[in-house]
Amino acid sequence: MIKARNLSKSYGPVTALHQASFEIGPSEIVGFLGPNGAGKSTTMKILTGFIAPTAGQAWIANQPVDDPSESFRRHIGYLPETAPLYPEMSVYEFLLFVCRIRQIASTARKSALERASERCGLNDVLNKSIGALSKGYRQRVGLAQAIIHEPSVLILDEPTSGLDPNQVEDIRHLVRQYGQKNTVLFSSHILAEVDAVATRILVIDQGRIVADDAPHALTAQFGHSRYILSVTGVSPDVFLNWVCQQNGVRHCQSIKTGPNDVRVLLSLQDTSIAATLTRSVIDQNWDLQELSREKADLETVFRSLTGGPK
Amino acid sequence: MVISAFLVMTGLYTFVLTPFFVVGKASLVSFFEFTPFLFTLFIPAITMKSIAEERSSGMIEILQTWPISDMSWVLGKFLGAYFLVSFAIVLTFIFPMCIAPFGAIDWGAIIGGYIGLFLLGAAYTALGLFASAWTSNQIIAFTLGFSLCFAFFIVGRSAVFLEGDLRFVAEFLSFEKRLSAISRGVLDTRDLVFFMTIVGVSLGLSTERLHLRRWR
Repeated sequence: MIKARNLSKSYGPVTALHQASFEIGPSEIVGFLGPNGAGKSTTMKILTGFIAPTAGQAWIANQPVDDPSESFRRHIGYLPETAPLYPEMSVYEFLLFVCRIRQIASTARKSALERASERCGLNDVLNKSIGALSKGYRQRVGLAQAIIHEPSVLILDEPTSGLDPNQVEDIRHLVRQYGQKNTVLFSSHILAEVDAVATRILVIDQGRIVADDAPHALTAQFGHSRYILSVTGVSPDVFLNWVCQQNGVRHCQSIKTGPNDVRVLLSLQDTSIAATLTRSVIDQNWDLQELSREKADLETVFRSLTGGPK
Repeated sequence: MVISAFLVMTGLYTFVLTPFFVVGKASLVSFFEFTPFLFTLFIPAITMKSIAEERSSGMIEILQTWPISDMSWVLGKFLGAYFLVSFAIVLTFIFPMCIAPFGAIDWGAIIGGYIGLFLLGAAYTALGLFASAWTSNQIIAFTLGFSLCFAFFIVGRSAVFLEGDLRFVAEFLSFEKRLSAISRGVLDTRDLVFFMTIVGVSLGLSTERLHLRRWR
Protein backbone atom coordinates (compact mmCIF):
# COMPACT_ATOMS: atom_id res chain seq x y z
CA MET A 1 0.00 0.00 0.00
CA ILE A 2 2.90 2.32 0.80
CA LYS A 3 6.11 2.03 -1.12
CA ALA A 4 9.16 4.25 -0.79
CA ARG A 5 12.25 3.88 -2.89
CA ASN A 6 15.47 5.75 -2.12
CA LEU A 7 13.67 8.78 -0.71
CA SER A 8 16.00 11.65 0.09
CA LYS A 9 15.24 15.15 1.23
CA SER A 10 17.62 18.01 1.84
CA TYR A 11 16.76 21.40 3.23
CA GLY A 12 19.64 23.46 1.91
CA PRO A 13 22.81 21.88 3.27
CA VAL A 14 20.90 19.80 5.84
CA THR A 15 20.01 16.26 4.85
CA ALA A 16 16.80 15.31 6.61
CA LEU A 17 16.31 12.00 4.88
CA HIS A 18 18.85 9.80 3.14
CA GLN A 19 17.90 7.04 0.70
CA ALA A 20 15.01 5.64 2.69
CA SER A 21 13.36 2.59 1.18
CA PHE A 22 10.57 0.48 2.59
CA GLU A 23 7.32 -1.19 1.68
CA ILE A 24 4.23 -1.52 3.82
CA GLY A 25 1.48 -3.94 2.90
CA PRO A 26 -2.25 -3.95 3.64
CA SER A 27 -3.42 -4.57 7.22
CA GLU A 28 -0.08 -3.64 8.70
CA ILE A 29 0.28 -1.25 11.61
CA VAL A 30 3.74 0.15 11.34
CA GLY A 31 5.34 2.19 14.08
CA PHE A 32 7.77 4.74 12.83
CA LEU A 33 10.28 5.16 15.59
CA GLY A 34 13.13 7.57 16.00
CA PRO A 35 14.48 10.38 18.12
CA ASN A 36 13.26 13.91 17.50
CA GLY A 37 14.60 15.32 14.27
CA ALA A 38 15.41 11.91 12.82
CA GLY A 39 13.29 12.45 9.71
CA LYS A 40 9.97 10.89 10.70
CA SER A 41 7.85 13.92 9.86
CA THR A 42 9.78 14.60 6.68
CA THR A 43 9.09 11.05 5.48
CA MET A 44 5.40 11.39 6.28
CA LYS A 45 5.15 14.75 4.55
CA ILE A 46 6.65 13.21 1.44
CA LEU A 47 4.32 10.20 1.54
CA THR A 48 1.27 12.47 1.80
CA GLY A 49 2.51 14.67 -1.04
CA PHE A 50 2.83 17.77 1.15
CA ILE A 51 6.48 18.16 0.20
CA ALA A 52 8.39 16.74 -2.73
CA PRO A 53 11.47 14.56 -2.15
CA THR A 54 14.83 15.82 -3.41
CA ALA A 55 15.39 12.38 -4.89
CA GLY A 56 13.59 9.04 -4.95
CA GLN A 57 10.01 8.05 -5.47
CA ALA A 58 7.03 7.04 -3.35
CA TRP A 59 3.77 5.28 -4.14
CA ILE A 60 0.50 5.13 -2.27
CA ALA A 61 -1.90 2.39 -3.41
CA ASN A 62 0.30 1.95 -6.49
CA GLN A 63 -0.04 5.58 -7.50
CA PRO A 64 3.05 7.78 -7.51
CA VAL A 65 2.74 10.67 -5.07
CA ASP A 66 4.07 13.17 -7.60
CA ASP A 67 1.24 12.32 -9.98
CA PRO A 68 -0.18 15.67 -11.06
CA SER A 69 -3.76 14.36 -10.91
CA GLU A 70 -3.12 13.81 -7.19
CA SER A 71 -5.67 11.00 -7.15
CA PHE A 72 -3.60 9.11 -4.55
CA ARG A 73 -4.78 11.66 -1.99
CA ARG A 74 -8.19 10.01 -1.94
CA HIS A 75 -6.63 6.90 -0.44
CA ILE A 76 -4.89 8.75 2.37
CA GLY A 77 -6.00 10.01 5.73
CA TYR A 78 -3.40 12.22 7.36
CA LEU A 79 -3.05 13.75 10.78
CA PRO A 80 -0.07 16.11 10.94
CA GLU A 81 1.91 16.67 14.12
CA THR A 82 0.17 19.96 14.81
CA ALA A 83 -3.45 19.93 13.77
CA PRO A 84 -4.88 23.41 14.33
CA LEU A 85 -8.07 22.81 12.31
CA TYR A 86 -10.47 25.75 12.17
CA PRO A 87 -11.08 26.98 15.74
CA GLU A 88 -14.15 29.04 14.84
CA MET A 89 -16.01 26.07 13.33
CA SER A 90 -17.99 23.61 15.40
CA VAL A 91 -16.89 19.98 15.29
CA TYR A 92 -19.97 19.08 13.29
CA GLU A 93 -19.47 21.90 10.78
CA PHE A 94 -15.84 21.00 10.33
CA LEU A 95 -16.50 17.30 9.76
CA LEU A 96 -19.29 18.14 7.34
CA PHE A 97 -16.89 20.43 5.50
CA VAL A 98 -14.37 17.59 5.29
CA CYS A 99 -17.09 15.28 3.92
CA ARG A 100 -17.76 17.77 1.15
CA ILE A 101 -14.08 18.24 0.36
CA ARG A 102 -13.69 14.47 0.31
CA GLN A 103 -16.63 14.32 -2.09
CA ILE A 104 -18.61 11.93 0.04
CA ALA A 105 -22.06 11.71 -1.56
CA SER A 106 -24.59 13.83 0.31
CA THR A 107 -26.67 10.75 1.07
CA ALA A 108 -23.69 9.03 2.70
CA ARG A 109 -22.44 12.07 4.61
CA LYS A 110 -24.58 11.60 7.67
CA SER A 111 -23.53 8.00 8.22
CA ALA A 112 -19.86 8.76 7.51
CA LEU A 113 -19.95 11.61 10.02
CA GLU A 114 -21.72 9.52 12.65
CA ARG A 115 -19.31 6.64 12.21
CA ALA A 116 -16.22 8.84 12.53
CA SER A 117 -17.65 10.70 15.49
CA GLU A 118 -18.57 7.45 17.21
CA ARG A 119 -15.14 5.91 16.66
CA CYS A 120 -13.30 8.99 17.90
CA GLY A 121 -15.64 9.57 20.83
CA LEU A 122 -16.85 12.96 19.65
CA ASN A 123 -20.59 12.53 20.12
CA ASP A 124 -20.65 14.75 23.21
CA VAL A 125 -18.85 17.69 21.64
CA LEU A 126 -20.27 17.80 18.10
CA ASN A 127 -21.83 21.21 18.64
CA LYS A 128 -18.91 22.80 20.45
CA SER A 129 -16.54 25.03 18.57
CA ILE A 130 -13.16 23.47 17.94
CA GLY A 131 -11.35 26.37 19.59
CA ALA A 132 -13.08 25.60 22.91
CA LEU A 133 -11.97 21.95 22.99
CA SER A 134 -9.19 20.47 25.09
CA LYS A 135 -6.08 19.20 23.36
CA GLY A 136 -7.22 15.59 23.62
CA TYR A 137 -10.55 16.30 21.94
CA ARG A 138 -8.93 18.43 19.27
CA GLN A 139 -6.60 15.55 18.47
CA ARG A 140 -9.66 13.31 18.12
CA VAL A 141 -11.25 15.76 15.71
CA GLY A 142 -8.04 15.67 13.70
CA LEU A 143 -8.25 11.90 13.73
CA ALA A 144 -11.91 11.92 12.71
CA GLN A 145 -10.98 14.19 9.82
CA ALA A 146 -8.38 11.61 8.76
CA ILE A 147 -10.65 8.55 8.81
CA ILE A 148 -14.02 9.97 7.79
CA HIS A 149 -13.61 8.81 4.16
CA GLU A 150 -12.34 5.35 5.23
CA PRO A 151 -8.94 5.68 3.59
CA SER A 152 -6.96 2.51 2.93
CA VAL A 153 -3.81 4.26 4.16
CA LEU A 154 -3.80 6.17 7.44
CA ILE A 155 -0.75 8.26 8.30
CA LEU A 156 -0.50 9.74 11.78
CA ASP A 157 2.34 11.96 12.92
CA GLU A 158 2.84 11.59 16.69
CA PRO A 159 -0.87 11.05 17.32
CA THR A 160 -0.55 10.71 21.09
CA SER A 161 1.94 13.44 21.95
CA GLY A 162 0.76 15.67 24.75
CA LEU A 163 -2.22 13.54 25.73
CA ASP A 164 -3.00 12.04 29.12
CA PRO A 165 -2.73 8.24 29.62
CA ASN A 166 -6.47 7.62 29.12
CA GLN A 167 -6.55 9.61 25.92
CA VAL A 168 -3.43 7.82 24.73
CA GLU A 169 -5.13 4.47 25.32
CA ASP A 170 -8.22 5.61 23.38
CA ILE A 171 -6.14 6.56 20.40
CA ARG A 172 -4.15 3.33 20.53
CA HIS A 173 -7.38 1.39 20.59
CA LEU A 174 -8.63 3.25 17.55
CA VAL A 175 -5.39 2.65 15.67
CA ARG A 176 -5.46 -1.08 16.46
CA GLN A 177 -9.04 -1.32 15.33
CA TYR A 178 -8.49 0.67 12.15
CA GLY A 179 -5.37 -1.31 11.31
CA GLN A 180 -7.25 -4.59 11.19
CA LYS A 181 -8.45 -3.80 7.70
CA ASN A 182 -6.23 -0.94 6.58
CA THR A 183 -2.64 0.19 6.51
CA VAL A 184 -1.56 2.46 9.34
CA LEU A 185 1.76 4.24 9.62
CA PHE A 186 2.24 6.20 12.81
CA SER A 187 5.27 7.90 14.25
CA SER A 188 6.35 8.13 17.82
CA HIS A 189 9.42 8.51 19.93
CA ILE A 190 7.80 6.57 22.75
CA LEU A 191 8.86 2.95 22.59
CA ALA A 192 6.20 1.49 24.81
CA GLU A 193 3.61 2.89 22.46
CA VAL A 194 5.09 1.39 19.34
CA ASP A 195 5.48 -1.92 21.15
CA ALA A 196 1.85 -1.84 22.26
CA VAL A 197 0.30 -1.08 18.91
CA ALA A 198 2.56 -1.87 15.98
CA THR A 199 2.90 -5.15 14.15
CA ARG A 200 6.10 -3.90 12.61
CA ILE A 201 8.65 -1.25 13.45
CA LEU A 202 10.70 1.02 11.26
CA VAL A 203 13.52 2.69 13.16
CA ILE A 204 14.93 5.86 11.67
CA ASP A 205 17.97 7.75 12.86
CA GLN A 206 19.65 10.78 11.32
CA GLY A 207 17.61 10.38 8.15
CA ARG A 208 18.42 6.70 7.62
CA ILE A 209 16.27 3.65 8.17
CA VAL A 210 18.34 1.60 10.61
CA ALA A 211 15.96 -1.25 11.35
CA ASP A 212 12.77 -2.72 9.94
CA ASP A 213 11.24 -5.74 11.66
CA ALA A 214 8.59 -7.06 14.04
CA PRO A 215 8.96 -5.78 17.63
CA HIS A 216 9.93 -9.20 19.07
CA ALA A 217 12.41 -9.87 16.27
CA LEU A 218 14.10 -6.56 16.96
CA THR A 219 14.49 -7.26 20.65
CA ALA A 220 15.92 -10.69 19.87
CA GLN A 221 18.31 -9.28 17.31
CA PHE A 222 19.58 -6.18 19.04
CA GLY A 223 18.89 -6.68 22.70
CA HIS A 224 21.94 -7.66 24.73
CA SER A 225 21.63 -10.80 26.78
CA ARG A 226 21.40 -9.56 30.33
CA TYR A 227 21.48 -11.88 33.32
CA ILE A 228 21.17 -11.54 37.03
CA LEU A 229 23.49 -13.83 38.98
CA SER A 230 23.25 -14.31 42.71
CA VAL A 231 25.55 -16.41 44.93
CA THR A 232 26.32 -16.89 48.63
CA GLY A 233 29.50 -17.85 50.47
CA VAL A 234 31.79 -15.22 49.03
CA SER A 235 32.54 -11.58 49.77
CA PRO A 236 31.03 -9.09 47.30
CA ASP A 237 34.36 -7.59 46.19
CA VAL A 238 36.00 -10.90 45.52
CA PHE A 239 33.01 -12.17 43.58
CA LEU A 240 32.61 -9.04 41.47
CA ASN A 241 36.30 -9.08 40.65
CA TRP A 242 36.19 -12.69 39.68
CA VAL A 243 33.06 -12.55 37.59
CA CYS A 244 34.20 -9.53 35.62
CA GLN A 245 37.30 -11.41 34.51
CA GLN A 246 35.43 -14.40 33.11
CA ASN A 247 35.46 -14.98 29.38
CA GLY A 248 32.43 -13.67 27.54
CA VAL A 249 31.33 -11.23 30.23
CA ARG A 250 30.97 -7.90 28.58
CA HIS A 251 29.86 -5.87 31.45
CA CYS A 252 29.24 -6.49 35.12
CA GLN A 253 27.75 -4.42 37.81
CA SER A 254 26.93 -5.12 41.41
CA ILE A 255 23.29 -4.52 42.24
CA LYS A 256 21.69 -4.73 45.68
CA THR A 257 23.94 -6.96 47.80
CA GLY A 258 21.96 -8.48 50.69
CA PRO A 259 23.36 -9.69 54.05
CA ASN A 260 23.60 -13.24 52.72
CA ASP A 261 23.95 -13.07 48.98
CA VAL A 262 25.91 -11.21 46.36
CA ARG A 263 24.03 -10.05 43.27
CA VAL A 264 25.45 -8.87 39.99
CA LEU A 265 23.95 -7.75 36.72
CA LEU A 266 25.82 -9.21 33.79
CA SER A 267 25.81 -8.55 30.12
CA LEU A 268 26.99 -11.65 28.26
CA GLN A 269 28.26 -12.12 24.76
CA ASP A 270 25.83 -14.94 24.07
CA THR A 271 23.63 -17.40 25.90
CA SER A 272 26.21 -20.25 25.99
CA ILE A 273 28.36 -18.21 28.36
CA ALA A 274 25.66 -18.54 31.02
CA ALA A 275 26.12 -22.33 31.27
CA THR A 276 29.92 -22.06 31.48
CA LEU A 277 29.57 -19.43 34.16
CA THR A 278 27.27 -21.63 36.25
CA ARG A 279 29.78 -24.47 36.18
CA SER A 280 32.63 -22.14 37.17
CA VAL A 281 30.64 -20.83 40.15
CA ILE A 282 30.08 -24.37 41.39
CA ASP A 283 33.74 -25.25 40.83
CA GLN A 284 34.63 -22.35 43.13
CA ASN A 285 32.50 -23.95 45.88
CA TRP A 286 30.13 -21.00 46.06
CA ASP A 287 26.40 -21.57 46.34
CA LEU A 288 24.45 -20.55 43.30
CA GLN A 289 21.19 -18.89 44.36
CA GLU A 290 19.85 -17.52 41.14
CA LEU A 291 20.68 -17.12 37.48
CA SER A 292 17.93 -15.42 35.51
CA ARG A 293 17.74 -13.87 32.10
CA GLU A 294 16.37 -10.37 31.72
CA LYS A 295 14.31 -9.87 28.59
CA ALA A 296 15.82 -7.09 26.52
CA ASP A 297 13.22 -4.42 25.91
CA LEU A 298 12.74 -2.11 23.00
CA GLU A 299 14.28 0.69 25.02
CA THR A 300 17.62 -1.05 24.77
CA VAL A 301 17.12 -1.80 21.11
CA PHE A 302 16.25 1.80 20.39
CA ARG A 303 19.28 3.16 22.18
CA SER A 304 21.66 0.74 20.55
CA LEU A 305 20.22 1.54 17.11
CA THR A 306 20.04 5.29 17.42
CA GLY A 307 23.39 5.78 19.08
CA GLY A 308 22.07 6.88 22.44
CA PRO A 309 23.69 5.81 25.74
CA LYS A 310 23.79 2.03 26.04
CA MET B 1 -16.55 44.56 11.83
CA VAL B 2 -14.41 45.50 8.86
CA ILE B 3 -17.48 46.04 6.75
CA SER B 4 -19.14 48.33 9.31
CA ALA B 5 -15.93 50.34 9.60
CA PHE B 6 -15.87 50.63 5.84
CA LEU B 7 -19.47 51.84 5.68
CA VAL B 8 -18.94 54.40 8.41
CA MET B 9 -15.81 55.73 6.71
CA THR B 10 -17.36 56.05 3.26
CA GLY B 11 -20.54 57.55 4.72
CA LEU B 12 -18.59 60.08 6.73
CA TYR B 13 -16.43 61.07 3.82
CA THR B 14 -19.25 61.31 1.33
CA PHE B 15 -21.69 63.28 3.42
CA VAL B 16 -19.69 65.05 6.10
CA LEU B 17 -16.09 65.61 5.18
CA THR B 18 -16.85 66.84 1.68
CA PRO B 19 -19.08 69.86 1.26
CA PHE B 20 -21.91 67.61 0.15
CA PHE B 21 -24.65 69.63 1.76
CA VAL B 22 -22.97 72.91 0.90
CA VAL B 23 -22.69 72.19 -2.77
CA GLY B 24 -26.25 71.06 -2.79
CA LYS B 25 -25.80 68.71 -5.70
CA ALA B 26 -27.21 65.19 -5.65
CA SER B 27 -23.99 63.57 -6.78
CA LEU B 28 -21.77 60.81 -5.51
CA VAL B 29 -18.59 61.97 -7.20
CA SER B 30 -16.71 62.23 -3.92
CA PHE B 31 -17.82 58.71 -2.93
CA PHE B 32 -16.44 57.23 -6.13
CA GLU B 33 -13.22 59.21 -5.76
CA PHE B 34 -12.64 58.24 -2.15
CA THR B 35 -13.63 54.56 -2.13
CA PRO B 36 -10.76 53.33 -4.37
CA PHE B 37 -8.33 54.76 -1.82
CA LEU B 38 -10.18 53.30 1.13
CA PHE B 39 -10.21 49.95 -0.68
CA THR B 40 -6.41 49.89 -0.76
CA LEU B 41 -6.59 49.48 3.04
CA PHE B 42 -9.90 47.72 3.42
CA ILE B 43 -9.39 44.89 0.93
CA PRO B 44 -5.87 43.84 2.01
CA ALA B 45 -7.27 43.79 5.56
CA ILE B 46 -9.79 41.18 4.41
CA THR B 47 -7.37 39.12 2.32
CA MET B 48 -4.32 39.25 4.58
CA LYS B 49 -5.30 36.18 6.55
CA SER B 50 -6.67 34.16 3.63
CA ILE B 51 -3.55 32.16 2.91
CA ALA B 52 -0.98 33.52 5.38
CA GLU B 53 -3.00 32.25 8.34
CA GLU B 54 -3.28 28.75 6.88
CA ARG B 55 0.48 28.74 6.54
CA SER B 56 1.31 30.06 9.98
CA SER B 57 -1.19 27.84 11.79
CA GLY B 58 -0.03 24.74 9.96
CA MET B 59 -3.51 24.02 8.61
CA ILE B 60 -1.98 24.19 5.14
CA GLU B 61 -0.51 20.74 5.82
CA ILE B 62 -4.01 19.28 5.98
CA LEU B 63 -5.29 21.50 3.19
CA GLN B 64 -2.58 20.58 0.73
CA THR B 65 -3.00 16.88 1.39
CA TRP B 66 -6.75 16.93 0.81
CA PRO B 67 -7.81 15.87 -2.67
CA ILE B 68 -8.27 19.40 -3.98
CA SER B 69 -5.89 21.17 -6.32
CA ASP B 70 -4.02 24.28 -5.22
CA MET B 71 -5.80 26.22 -7.96
CA SER B 72 -9.23 25.35 -6.66
CA TRP B 73 -8.61 26.33 -3.07
CA VAL B 74 -6.93 29.59 -4.09
CA LEU B 75 -9.98 30.29 -6.22
CA GLY B 76 -12.18 29.43 -3.24
CA LYS B 77 -10.26 31.86 -1.05
CA PHE B 78 -10.65 34.52 -3.74
CA LEU B 79 -14.38 34.00 -4.10
CA GLY B 80 -14.83 34.03 -0.32
CA ALA B 81 -12.98 37.32 0.08
CA TYR B 82 -14.60 38.83 -3.01
CA PHE B 83 -18.01 37.93 -1.66
CA LEU B 84 -17.28 40.03 1.44
CA VAL B 85 -15.99 42.91 -0.69
CA SER B 86 -19.05 42.75 -2.94
CA PHE B 87 -21.31 42.64 0.08
CA ALA B 88 -19.70 45.86 1.36
CA ILE B 89 -20.18 47.51 -2.02
CA VAL B 90 -23.81 46.41 -2.18
CA LEU B 91 -24.43 47.92 1.24
CA THR B 92 -23.35 51.32 -0.09
CA PHE B 93 -26.27 51.21 -2.56
CA ILE B 94 -28.03 52.97 0.26
CA PHE B 95 -26.10 56.18 -0.52
CA PRO B 96 -27.65 56.87 -3.94
CA MET B 97 -31.02 55.83 -2.48
CA CYS B 98 -30.57 58.46 0.21
CA ILE B 99 -29.75 61.30 -2.10
CA ALA B 100 -32.19 60.35 -4.84
CA PRO B 101 -35.11 62.32 -3.37
CA PHE B 102 -33.04 65.52 -3.26
CA GLY B 103 -32.35 66.10 -6.88
CA ALA B 104 -31.88 64.78 -10.35
CA ILE B 105 -29.39 61.97 -10.23
CA ASP B 106 -27.19 60.95 -13.10
CA TRP B 107 -27.96 57.23 -12.80
CA GLY B 108 -25.63 56.42 -15.69
CA ALA B 109 -22.65 57.81 -13.80
CA ILE B 110 -23.63 55.96 -10.66
CA ILE B 111 -24.08 52.61 -12.41
CA GLY B 112 -20.78 53.15 -14.20
CA GLY B 113 -19.12 54.02 -10.90
CA TYR B 114 -20.40 50.85 -9.30
CA ILE B 115 -19.29 48.64 -12.19
CA GLY B 116 -15.87 50.24 -11.75
CA LEU B 117 -15.89 49.51 -8.02
CA PHE B 118 -16.78 45.86 -8.54
CA LEU B 119 -13.97 45.47 -11.09
CA LEU B 120 -11.50 47.32 -8.90
CA GLY B 121 -12.59 45.25 -5.89
CA ALA B 122 -11.86 42.04 -7.80
CA ALA B 123 -8.42 43.25 -8.86
CA TYR B 124 -7.53 44.41 -5.33
CA THR B 125 -8.79 41.15 -3.80
CA ALA B 126 -6.63 39.13 -6.17
CA LEU B 127 -3.58 41.32 -5.45
CA GLY B 128 -4.21 41.05 -1.70
CA LEU B 129 -4.49 37.29 -1.99
CA PHE B 130 -1.24 37.14 -3.90
CA ALA B 131 0.42 39.09 -1.07
CA SER B 132 -1.09 36.66 1.43
CA ALA B 133 0.24 33.65 -0.48
CA TRP B 134 3.72 35.10 -0.36
CA THR B 135 4.24 35.04 3.39
CA SER B 136 3.06 33.36 6.55
CA ASN B 137 3.04 36.67 8.42
CA GLN B 138 -0.27 38.51 8.23
CA ILE B 139 1.23 41.93 8.89
CA ILE B 140 3.63 41.51 5.99
CA ALA B 141 0.75 40.23 3.87
CA PHE B 142 -1.26 43.34 4.68
CA THR B 143 1.59 45.76 4.03
CA LEU B 144 2.53 44.08 0.78
CA GLY B 145 -1.12 43.92 -0.32
CA PHE B 146 -1.66 47.59 0.47
CA SER B 147 1.52 48.60 -1.38
CA LEU B 148 0.53 46.61 -4.46
CA CYS B 149 -3.01 47.97 -4.58
CA PHE B 150 -1.88 51.53 -3.95
CA ALA B 151 0.91 51.32 -6.51
CA PHE B 152 -1.39 50.01 -9.21
CA PHE B 153 -3.93 52.69 -8.44
CA ILE B 154 -1.70 55.73 -8.54
CA VAL B 155 0.95 54.58 -11.02
CA GLY B 156 -0.87 56.66 -13.63
CA ARG B 157 -0.09 59.87 -11.77
CA SER B 158 3.59 59.35 -12.40
CA ALA B 159 2.93 59.43 -16.13
CA VAL B 160 3.39 63.20 -16.29
CA PHE B 161 7.02 62.79 -15.25
CA LEU B 162 7.72 60.01 -17.69
CA GLU B 163 8.27 59.86 -21.39
CA GLY B 164 7.97 57.39 -24.22
CA ASP B 165 7.46 53.73 -23.42
CA LEU B 166 7.60 54.19 -19.65
CA ARG B 167 4.82 56.72 -19.82
CA PHE B 168 2.76 54.34 -21.90
CA VAL B 169 3.34 51.51 -19.40
CA ALA B 170 2.41 53.73 -16.44
CA GLU B 171 -0.79 54.84 -18.10
CA PHE B 172 -1.57 51.32 -19.25
CA LEU B 173 -1.26 49.86 -15.75
CA SER B 174 -3.09 52.69 -14.01
CA PHE B 175 -6.28 51.53 -12.31
CA GLU B 176 -7.29 55.14 -11.79
CA LYS B 177 -7.31 56.06 -15.47
CA ARG B 178 -9.40 53.04 -16.40
CA LEU B 179 -11.76 53.59 -13.51
CA SER B 180 -12.44 57.18 -14.43
CA ALA B 181 -13.27 56.12 -17.99
CA ILE B 182 -15.70 53.49 -16.70
CA SER B 183 -17.36 55.90 -14.27
CA ARG B 184 -17.93 58.32 -17.14
CA GLY B 185 -19.97 55.53 -18.63
CA VAL B 186 -17.40 54.39 -21.17
CA LEU B 187 -17.29 50.63 -20.62
CA ASP B 188 -14.50 49.47 -22.90
CA THR B 189 -13.92 45.74 -23.35
CA ARG B 190 -10.21 46.43 -23.05
CA ASP B 191 -10.66 47.72 -19.51
CA LEU B 192 -12.75 44.70 -18.64
CA VAL B 193 -10.11 42.38 -20.06
CA PHE B 194 -7.40 44.33 -18.22
CA PHE B 195 -8.99 43.87 -14.79
CA MET B 196 -9.77 40.22 -15.50
CA THR B 197 -6.14 39.72 -16.49
CA ILE B 198 -4.92 41.28 -13.24
CA VAL B 199 -7.17 38.86 -11.34
CA GLY B 200 -6.06 35.87 -13.41
CA VAL B 201 -2.35 36.62 -13.19
CA SER B 202 -2.48 37.29 -9.42
CA LEU B 203 -4.36 34.07 -8.73
CA GLY B 204 -2.08 32.13 -11.07
CA LEU B 205 1.02 33.45 -9.30
CA SER B 206 -0.51 32.68 -5.90
CA THR B 207 -1.13 29.09 -6.97
CA GLU B 208 2.37 28.81 -8.36
CA ARG B 209 3.78 30.16 -5.11
CA LEU B 210 1.92 27.49 -3.10
CA HIS B 211 3.01 24.85 -5.54
CA LEU B 212 6.66 25.88 -5.28
CA ARG B 213 6.53 25.54 -1.49
CA ARG B 214 6.56 21.76 -1.91
CA TRP B 215 10.06 21.83 -3.34
CA ARG B 216 11.64 23.90 -0.65
